[in-house]
Amino acid sequence: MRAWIAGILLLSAPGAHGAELVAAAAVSLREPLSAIAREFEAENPGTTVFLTFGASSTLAAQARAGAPLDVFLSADPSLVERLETEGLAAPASTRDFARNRLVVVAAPELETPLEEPTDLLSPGIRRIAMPAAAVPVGRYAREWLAERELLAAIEERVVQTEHARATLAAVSAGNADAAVVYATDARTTRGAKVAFPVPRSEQPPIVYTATQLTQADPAANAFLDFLSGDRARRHLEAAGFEAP
Amino acid sequence: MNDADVFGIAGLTLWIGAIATVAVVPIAVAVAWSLVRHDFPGKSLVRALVTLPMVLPPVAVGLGLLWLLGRRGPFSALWEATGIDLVFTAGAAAVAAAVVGFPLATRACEQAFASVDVRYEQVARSLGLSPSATFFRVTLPLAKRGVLYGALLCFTRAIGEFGATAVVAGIIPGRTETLALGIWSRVQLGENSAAAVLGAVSFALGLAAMWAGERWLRSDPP
Amino acid sequence: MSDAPHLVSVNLQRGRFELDATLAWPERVSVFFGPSGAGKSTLFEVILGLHTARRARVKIGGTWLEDSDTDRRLPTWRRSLGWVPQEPTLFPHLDVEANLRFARPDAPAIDQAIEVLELGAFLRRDVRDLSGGERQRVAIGRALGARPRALLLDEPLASLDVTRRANVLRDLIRVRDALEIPMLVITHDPDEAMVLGERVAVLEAGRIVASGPPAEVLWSQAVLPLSETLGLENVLRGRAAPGAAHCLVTTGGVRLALPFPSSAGEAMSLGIRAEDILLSVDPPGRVSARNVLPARVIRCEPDGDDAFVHLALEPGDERLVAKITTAAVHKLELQSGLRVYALIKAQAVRRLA
Repeated sequence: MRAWIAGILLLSAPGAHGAELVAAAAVSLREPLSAIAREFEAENPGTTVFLTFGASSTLAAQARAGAPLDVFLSADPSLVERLETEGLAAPASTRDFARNRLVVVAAPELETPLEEPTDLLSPGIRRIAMPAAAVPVGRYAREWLAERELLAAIEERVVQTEHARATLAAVSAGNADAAVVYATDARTTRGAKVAFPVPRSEQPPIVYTATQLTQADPAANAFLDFLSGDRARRHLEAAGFEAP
Repeated sequence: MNDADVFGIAGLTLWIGAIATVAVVPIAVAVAWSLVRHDFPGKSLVRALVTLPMVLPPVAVGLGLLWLLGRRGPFSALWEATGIDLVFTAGAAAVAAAVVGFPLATRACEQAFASVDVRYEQVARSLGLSPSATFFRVTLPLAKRGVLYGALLCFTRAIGEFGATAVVAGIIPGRTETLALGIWSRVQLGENSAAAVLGAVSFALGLAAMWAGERWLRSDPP
Repeated sequence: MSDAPHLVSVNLQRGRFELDATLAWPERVSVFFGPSGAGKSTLFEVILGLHTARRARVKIGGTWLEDSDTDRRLPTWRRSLGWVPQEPTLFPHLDVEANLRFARPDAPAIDQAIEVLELGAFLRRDVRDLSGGERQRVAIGRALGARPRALLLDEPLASLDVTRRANVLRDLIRVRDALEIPMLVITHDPDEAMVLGERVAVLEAGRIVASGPPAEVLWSQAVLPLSETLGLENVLRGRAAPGAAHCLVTTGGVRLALPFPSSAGEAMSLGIRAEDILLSVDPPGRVSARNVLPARVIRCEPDGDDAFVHLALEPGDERLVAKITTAAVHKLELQSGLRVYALIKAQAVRRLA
């Protein structure tokens, strides 16, 4: 029993004496947010930002179950709203900080032409990667496909993935022939080629929202301010995100 | 991914496995011994509960732990009062690893104790040893191999634990990212070569642990 | 009855087997004899406090260890009983010396036990490398090392082959004679019961069916069918005669020719099967039997075609039983008080210890 307690204390004791933030973020933010966090740490010595990436819906569920998160960055404002109504997030801290677009990507070895939305119906496209509807990118993709009245026809060819990046990875690895992904994600790999962008007029608005969770470390507020600042914006734009 | 990351992830994985094993084995020994040598009401229920983490989906175990350890669970007041905040820390990963390793350790210990002839314990008591002295001087030494084998199983299971850990500890690089979590998240991100490096490291660690354990257990007669 | 220093009274149900036995005895060395499954080992386990019985009253050496009538019960580890169970006995994770010193590492009793049992030569040995007889001696030594109030031996010779038995039996006799503590011995071998016991209690199917001096009990009509099937023999004790190589003088003073050499003064126990004894009413003339022993008939017990003739040797009054046909009893008109000669071939004399 003593070993138990000692072990747990060792593992749960903070490594440094300064503040530690845990930021849970949509996986599509991975590269710019990592750079932003390193820069924030450099500017605030003693503060460490731990990043955990995943589908926003999964991260929200963990926050709801009691995971001690400080900052929550989601590709879906409705998830943030829900956390606010549940009293888990502080509405005053909530802000939009980026926008994204959808593109259709194809596996590099795909021979079937894929140049416009209706091409998704061609029999040469056997598998289409897509996360569940609870995951933001899964919802956005479905909304667009439903708008184009394609969703019902391709539903049975959908292979379910975990989150936005996993969708892209499925296409790169050739496990799926095509997918609807974020434009920013498509830029991170040469394994999948962009077939065509989803027209701005057809896609739902994709807004990234950041919020501070209740019981968050005081440093969380500073991090959110930094995220809305110019230096963070430069990293986001370099990765292909648009201003909110 | 650089070498420091790989070492960090492997080191954290081994450390979590070690903590989990050290924490679990004494409990597994106590539980196994009560199950083998004592009759009490509800024994079969206890036996079923012990096995439960082995048969439940690991994610379900993780959710259960999240609830128990979380700020909104039944013990939130206790965590508040003691300042223990395990969720999303390496401590939570150790707890998850311990919980899933526990049935394996207990099963192995049960077998080990069942194979000790009661006669030895009776003789020890006839020679003036109290029940606890009998346990430490006769039962445990005779069951040593099985107990150590249980510890080895628990350790290897702990360093490979994924599902429960992902839920209760999250996948936080540098804080809770173990080999299994690292492999999974890299595969999800399409970073296959980094996943392969971590996969090779876990393969090597698992093999080394089992090989060293088997060798050592075989070389030392009971 | 409870004035006797030793008392055991048990009622214990285990499945369909019921052990219900009460016995009080004053002798220091008592033997519990019976076929396997009679409840002998269970009786020991009750004495040791390893069972909870419906009734358990145990007094050894004048000290009450358990009395269910008054709800007193010493736990096993406070009973100070030196128990040598049937195999397995020695702790396999310890060497011989660690086994011997298991109870009390520095007790002088252990050094004494090492000396009496001649264990000095293999203290460092792995217990798994010992022979059956050596293991038995170490187990006895370990029990004695704890300075027990009594020694409980459960079938001490059962796991040994015939050639080793005589040696270990001799060790047991030496231990018995060197000690002053009570000894309780379980055996299914009537010879051992004869050789070791001052008192024998016979158990059958969980009940005590007879109890008393070994020669009387084992040859009694109630017990004879059992002891016969288990290989009952006449037992004579004595010392090798000085000056004669193949000769024993019994404790009663009778000279007996032996088929094997003996060294002068050596203590021995000999076995003679009842059917190997011939009886003659008249002094026999020139016969090949080397032993012609004058005796007096105590009683004849016919048992169908066979009859057991109980004899007292003269001089010394040592008891022998001869098995002859009932027809022969009638022909020789054997009856109590008649003087006869017991004829025993030297070849029929077997050394037990």
